[in-house]
Amino acid sequence: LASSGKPHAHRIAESGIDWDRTCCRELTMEFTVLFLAIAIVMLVAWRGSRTLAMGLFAGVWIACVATYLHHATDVLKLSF
Amino acid sequence: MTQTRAIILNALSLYALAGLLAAAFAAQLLLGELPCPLCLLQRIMFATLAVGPILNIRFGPRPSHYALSLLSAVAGAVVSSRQVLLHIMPGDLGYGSALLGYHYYSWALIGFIAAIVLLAAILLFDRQFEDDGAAQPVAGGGFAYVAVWLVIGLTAMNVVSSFLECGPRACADNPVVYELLKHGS
Repeated sequence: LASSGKPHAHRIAESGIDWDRTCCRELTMEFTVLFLAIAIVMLVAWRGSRTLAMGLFAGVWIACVATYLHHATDVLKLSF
Repeated sequence: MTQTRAIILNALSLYALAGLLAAAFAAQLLLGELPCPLCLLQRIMFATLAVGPILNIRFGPRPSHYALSLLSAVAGAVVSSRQVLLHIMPGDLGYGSALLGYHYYSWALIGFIAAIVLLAAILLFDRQFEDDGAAQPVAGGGFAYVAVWLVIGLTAMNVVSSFLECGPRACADNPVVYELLKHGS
């Protein structure tokens, strides 16, 4: 994942998206929230209804893909 | 393969996932290697793999439950592939230490591909989807009960760990300290 603090124009050129104009320019606690969400899905799958668990799973899966795509549009660093 | 045997296999897969999440924790705690954002996302995808087996154990095996795990495995393979490609240039030492010659994200890619193959293989057995007369809801006994709570517990531990590592902000690209602990130490 690319580091934050890149020049603004550079980011737009790489991603084609102006993240500053979106709601998720800097996602906060994204991984903590995703871990918490998936733990809740597991609990619902084990204790609650099947339909609700599958619906929640769909939401978490889409959030995971969105998180990946958000970072995948960052500038690539080929080494750390 | 009967419904009962399929449930035992699903419980075993949960133990495998729990072992994997525990190994990642061991590397984090014993070797002091904090997971990067892509590494965390791969852990999350391994955790989401567990939802299908949990549903299979609770409600009985269904193709839709396996489909959830397949979706997770494909997404996980995409994420780990990206990290492999980030370090594919000659001379790049990769991120973190290697285990048996492969970095963790390479092992993760192998794991997700293995999961896709195994899920496809288990879907070949149609008899598991027929009710074999076991009392509903299918519980799987203590063996499955422990497996489910083990995976849920390890996922809950990751909630705490990722919060300590990242704090209330976006995670560092190359984390070396726990954000919430660095001021206290």
